[in-house]
Amino acid sequence: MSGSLKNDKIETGGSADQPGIAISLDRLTKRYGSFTAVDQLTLQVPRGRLFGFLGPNGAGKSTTIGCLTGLLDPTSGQVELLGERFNSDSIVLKRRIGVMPEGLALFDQLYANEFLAFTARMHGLEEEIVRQRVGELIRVLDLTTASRKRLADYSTGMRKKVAFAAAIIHRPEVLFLDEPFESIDPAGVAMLKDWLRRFVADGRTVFMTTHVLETVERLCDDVAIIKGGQLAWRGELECLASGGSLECDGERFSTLEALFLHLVGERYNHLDWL
Amino acid sequence: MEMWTVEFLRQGRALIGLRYRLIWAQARSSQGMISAMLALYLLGALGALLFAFGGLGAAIAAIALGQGESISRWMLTSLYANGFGLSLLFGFGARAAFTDGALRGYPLRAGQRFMVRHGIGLFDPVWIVLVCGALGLAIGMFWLKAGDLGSGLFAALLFILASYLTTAVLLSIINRLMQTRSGTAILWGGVLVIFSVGPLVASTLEPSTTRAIWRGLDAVLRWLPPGVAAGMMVSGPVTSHLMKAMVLSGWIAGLTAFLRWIEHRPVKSDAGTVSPVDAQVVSEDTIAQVGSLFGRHYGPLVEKSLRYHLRCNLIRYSLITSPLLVIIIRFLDAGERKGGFLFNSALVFYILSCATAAGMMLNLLGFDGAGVRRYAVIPAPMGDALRAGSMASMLLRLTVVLTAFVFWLAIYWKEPKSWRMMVVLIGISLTGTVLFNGIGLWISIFSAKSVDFDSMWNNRLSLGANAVVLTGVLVPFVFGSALVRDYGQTILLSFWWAPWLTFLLSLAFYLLSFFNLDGALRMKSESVIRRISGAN
Repeated sequence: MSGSLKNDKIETGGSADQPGIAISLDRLTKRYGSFTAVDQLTLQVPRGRLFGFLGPNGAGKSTTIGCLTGLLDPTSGQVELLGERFNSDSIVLKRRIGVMPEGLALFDQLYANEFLAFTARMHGLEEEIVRQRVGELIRVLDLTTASRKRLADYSTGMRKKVAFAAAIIHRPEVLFLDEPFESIDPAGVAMLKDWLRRFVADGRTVFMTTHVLETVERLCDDVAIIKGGQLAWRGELECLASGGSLECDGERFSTLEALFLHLVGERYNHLDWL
Repeated sequence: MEMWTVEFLRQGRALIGLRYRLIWAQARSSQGMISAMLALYLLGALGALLFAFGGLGAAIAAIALGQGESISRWMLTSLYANGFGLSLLFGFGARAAFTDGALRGYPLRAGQRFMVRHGIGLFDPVWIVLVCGALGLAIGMFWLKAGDLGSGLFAALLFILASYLTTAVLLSIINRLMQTRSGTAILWGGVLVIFSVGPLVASTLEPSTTRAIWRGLDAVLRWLPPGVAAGMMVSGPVTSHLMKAMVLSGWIAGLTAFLRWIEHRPVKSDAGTVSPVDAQVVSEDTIAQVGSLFGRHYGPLVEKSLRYHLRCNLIRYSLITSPLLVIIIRFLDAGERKGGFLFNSALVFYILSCATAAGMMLNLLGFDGAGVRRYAVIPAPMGDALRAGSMASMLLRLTVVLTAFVFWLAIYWKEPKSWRMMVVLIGISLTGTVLFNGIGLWISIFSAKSVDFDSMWNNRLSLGANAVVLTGVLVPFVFGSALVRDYGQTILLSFWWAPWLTFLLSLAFYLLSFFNLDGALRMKSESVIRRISGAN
């Protein structure tokens, strides 16, 4: 699979090349009854960065993305996107962000082209651009042969591609991706990574979660690791590329994996019967 | 016993246990608990009644009338029909709880998977009703000294097994037909012919012909599972009982073989049809054009909702068959209750304007599954999705009402009509459509339920929606019946403006709901999303 999308400049939101903060969380807290999923999380992501948001299962990553994208309302605290206060009613801001949510949130009974056209129209794109981008995305993402199948009948990888296409079709300024690469074939992953690099090179911002630490190490500029709903570490990864190391608790780590295991606790328990 | 048999029985027991744990888990949800309690109460009461009055009662009646075998035969036939009907409507019983694919993960052979799947089905609560009835009949026959207990209980066991297998075979055939458009058309065409032409033909038959047909049916029934089982329950020579047991076993073996064969046939589904590569990139079909009439904001949402309505078999065929309901107006005056042509027409128009498509109208987001989360991230208030769904539902329902009206004019052209009659019928239809769509907006928020888009038979309404449908249909029916009984159907013509008054009130309610649902939805949105998408 190979392909590229035309870098046309037909926009729906504001300019993306302003300096400053793209995402800001101020003491964000989300509780479900007595359970606190995200606890007083404060974090800032500058514009034009590819930001990796990591943590073990159940750490609160998807809940945080839910609060950042309008899926959930925080119990307390504040979210700002592109310098403006954001909540689930922020319709204008939602036009400027793209989201690939947990579980993908596809309308399973639509065909891929119908779903992409729906998303593009909801973001206010002109009909001519809707046609152009839907056609191009379906072709470039190798969805042509299956474009007249219901999304429910797609493979997991193809569903991911459709959800990714829906997240970028309106050329957002900030892109939120929850586990974007899992289940996609290697060629597809390589292409998506290339798109993301170009996306941030254009001054836009990507905020993504994944469990594949090698991907984060190679792709992301900055990383935050959360544990138990609280920020455990935040830093830049550029030093790793030049043979440097990451510092945490007075210790130095040569890989992100080593740092991650240090933070979440190495768990090499043995099963005697295995 | 061989090692693998012991292992197989342990696995089967574990899976049946899992099935009941799943039923219990479903029952523990707030709505499920109430539904489960009602269902258990009904099943228990029905089981006891069937045992006491169904089985035993039938046995007593059979002995008293000296027609033990014949009455038992029809009693078992009606029991079988009950089991099939419950499976069809509520998705219990013969619907295997686990698919063959799901069981492939366990160390089970193909034959074992088949036995486990259907064993679980056989242990479903619905069959308790059948077991009660059949055992009641066998014990009743023995108690009244008209049958042997051993052969009676054995017959009941074989009958239950044969009934289950017949139901499973029929449901498999129906499900396979429903996978394709042509199959669905054939199925519904058949159902319509039976229910519309059947009574018409029956009403024209001479009594002697009817009796001959019943005698013929009774003769055929002797060789079908209920008839053979009934023969085993009454006293008779051992050789005759042995032969009947062999016939029943033959039925069971044949049905088992057929069920295995049909389950292994590949499904030809329309869903996966791939059209040519150069298919239109962005659809410009009628649905897209209708959607575009609602403007740039609501257009895409209405278009999406229309596509969902028109791709859902349940909704699609309720839309197609609703206008045909006007056929039954002719038969509503049978028996002692005579409402008259106008009252019957009003009743049918009211029902087809509201109750027949309640599945989606009263649960506008329930068919979206995990897609419901998308509404939270698109740049539009979530309430717009509800409003768009309601507009699509209203549009389709009004089309149905209009079609039914034309159909009604065509087939009842001989009946005397007046402009007042037309005004009454249109007013009633509009009231039903607008009122139920208004209520649907609130039910979709406060009693949302995740439903399986492709499943045809399960009861898809939430508890709240069921209450609305039952109340919304029964109250006008009882009130209208009382009016017509006391004053005659001309009262509808005297107060021809009344349905329009109710329409205007319903419209006001609808518009108030339409423009004021956002606050309630904002409060409930996380719970609605969680409930429909199944997310934690």
